[in-house]
Amino acid sequence: MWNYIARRLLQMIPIVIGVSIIIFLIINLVPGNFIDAKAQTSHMSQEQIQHLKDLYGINDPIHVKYVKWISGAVHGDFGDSFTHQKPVSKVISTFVWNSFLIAIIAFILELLIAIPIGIISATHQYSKTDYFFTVIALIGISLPSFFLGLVLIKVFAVDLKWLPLAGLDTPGTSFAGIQFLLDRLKHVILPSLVLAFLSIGQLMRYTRTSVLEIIKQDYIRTARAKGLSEKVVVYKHALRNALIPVVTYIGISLPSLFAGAIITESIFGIPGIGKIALDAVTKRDYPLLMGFSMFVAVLTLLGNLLSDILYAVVDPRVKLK
Amino acid sequence: MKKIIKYLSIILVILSAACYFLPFLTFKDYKSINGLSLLTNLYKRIELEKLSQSAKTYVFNSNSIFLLFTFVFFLITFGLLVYSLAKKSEKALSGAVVSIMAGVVLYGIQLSNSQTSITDFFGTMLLATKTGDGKTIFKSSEIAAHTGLGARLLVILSILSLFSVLVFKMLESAERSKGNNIQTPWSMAIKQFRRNKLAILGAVIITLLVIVCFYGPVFSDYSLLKTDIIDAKLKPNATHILGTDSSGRDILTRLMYGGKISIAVGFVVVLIEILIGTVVGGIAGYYGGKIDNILMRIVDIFLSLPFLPVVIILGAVMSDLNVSPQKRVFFVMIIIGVLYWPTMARMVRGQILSLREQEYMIAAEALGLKDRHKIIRHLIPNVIPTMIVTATLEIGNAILTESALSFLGLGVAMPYPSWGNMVQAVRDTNDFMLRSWMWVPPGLTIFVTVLAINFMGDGLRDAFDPKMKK
Repeated sequence: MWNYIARRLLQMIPIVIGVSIIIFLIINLVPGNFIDAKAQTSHMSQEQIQHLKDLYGINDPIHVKYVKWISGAVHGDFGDSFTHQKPVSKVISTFVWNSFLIAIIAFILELLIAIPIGIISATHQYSKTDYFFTVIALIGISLPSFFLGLVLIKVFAVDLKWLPLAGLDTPGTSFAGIQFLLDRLKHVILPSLVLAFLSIGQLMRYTRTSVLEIIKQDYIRTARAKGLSEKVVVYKHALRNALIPVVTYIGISLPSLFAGAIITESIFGIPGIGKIALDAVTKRDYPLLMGFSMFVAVLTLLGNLLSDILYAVVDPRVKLK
Repeated sequence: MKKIIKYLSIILVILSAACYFLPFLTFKDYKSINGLSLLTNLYKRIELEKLSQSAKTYVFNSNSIFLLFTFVFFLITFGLLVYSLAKKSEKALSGAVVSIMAGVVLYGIQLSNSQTSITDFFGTMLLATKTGDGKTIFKSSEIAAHTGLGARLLVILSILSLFSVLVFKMLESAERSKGNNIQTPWSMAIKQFRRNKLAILGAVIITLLVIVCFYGPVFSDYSLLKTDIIDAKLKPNATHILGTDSSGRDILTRLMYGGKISIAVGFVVVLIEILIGTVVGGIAGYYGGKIDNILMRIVDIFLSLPFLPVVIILGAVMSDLNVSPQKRVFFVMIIIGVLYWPTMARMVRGQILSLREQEYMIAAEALGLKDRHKIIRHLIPNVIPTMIVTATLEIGNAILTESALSFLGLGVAMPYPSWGNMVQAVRDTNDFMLRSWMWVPPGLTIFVTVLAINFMGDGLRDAFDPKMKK
């Protein structure tokens, strides 16, 4: 087991390097640099500009630049963010928790809704209930996140005035204790709902397929032949095996809870890592963007690893080699 | 019944060819131009005949090469239909179907070629002024132009004739296969698909949307880019059915053009994805070993790229490189396509790996078939069903990605509309809160389109999967 994890981690290295090269190249497609941009607005002599350029290594050939960046990145040093005037890692670790808050609420909602309706759909295959849930799931997959967010804001915040428009806290208030929690909850409920609704479809379909597959197996027929009630057959015998793929889905999703939701956070004005990244795009804060992209890429890889490990943990038939 | 449809198709094809004698372009104060003179004067300058004394001298440059092809295809269709009637030739009938489809599609391409206004469907409008030394200077100029009756009728008649020829063809082949009970995997899949009501609904919605978006602008009297501040932010009313946007442009017209762009992006992205994905996946799966290892590591790298951040950064890079709004659409297609292919590559490889182990492939090996033959005749046909399903679902995803990118202002850029960038109207808080007609319709159309595609993809998956049989 530990051997397997160690080997998988080693295999991740070339992939991370590949990803970093692509991200680095994309960012370096951009013409111009920030020293020249600064020189236009402030009075700097030619020597000063040259000095600054040497200092930041702007005239270095691209592979030298890359090696400099990646060797810093290995130590967790992605340089300083232009806009936040702080190390990139610091910026990420500050804002990631706001993203995590809405993501974890959404994730719990997703699990609580998607898995039960997936099971019901499968056990009632081709019934009206099944069609209803399938359509709901497909609607969730098909909705553009920004549009769903906007409509919810328009209905619940603008027209009905039940919930706040944007942000994480009501500005100008300093609640404590229960009041603070209630206020926070009011702010995060809509964005979490959006995130949950968009992902319910996938998990629900996943659960449905996997339950359907298990129900057709011989051991389930045996259980039925023994005269067990349908409830016991489904929830005691089928479910255990049917939920194995679902567990791996959870494994993939867990790390991505930290990755931020660029569009949803921006629509709802949540100061999470996704919104910070979008702001960094508009302000062309490249160190932050590179750091953020690498962060998300590593999270994806960890998700894959985690799901494989979980698979082996919950399913004794799988042996990791 | 069959006979009626037969003659109806021929009449419709003749009628649509006859549309070319009707006005295609009408101008204020000038005589209109009919379809035939657009064709006969390709790449020549025609001076517009004035109807009133005060009018300036305008010339018209026709470049409707697609219109010409459309016309030719209609003539071919007519010929083939008559031939198939006279000789009862099945091949001629199939030829007629293909030819009329080509005609209708080309006319749609001609329409989508347009960038600014109705005149650009067919050519350019130039203002001719004589200088002192007798030379003529041409300047592109705006003149109130509308599509004429001919162009509009052509759309209706040609689509009708397409449907009637298709129905005719279907009746013909249904008659032939009567009493013929051979079931191929394809006919079984079609049967299964037809039973799925949601999938049929999806297919109907998509067909309607494509027709409306690609052919609808012909029926609009408003040009795409012309702004009119006096008419800005109008509520939906009798003249502007869906109201106007913040610059006074008709929202319905922009919605149709935007749909054309969004749908085209979806299709082209998937085309790119299929091209790269099948080649890479096919090579990796078939040859295996070292090649497979290297290619799959590249796929792994692409799959680990954070998708949305990378797309957004590339969108910003496009802005920094000063890509012009006309070209941005193509860059958006390429960017999304290049980031999408790994999914397809992985799927194709997986399929081929499992197919390669099947007995019939061993038989093919034993028969000493060539690689090329094995791949084209035995592997690809078996991969196609899964590919169709994946491709359908990916069109929906591509439309969603494009709309998100354009919504953030990093995809298709103003003044050209896409459904995503039309929702950008919400940036003005007042428009967001008070004028929902400015941003709700494009959002809804994205949703409906993607939902219809997902219905279809879902139906296709069930249709091709023998395990899903009822």
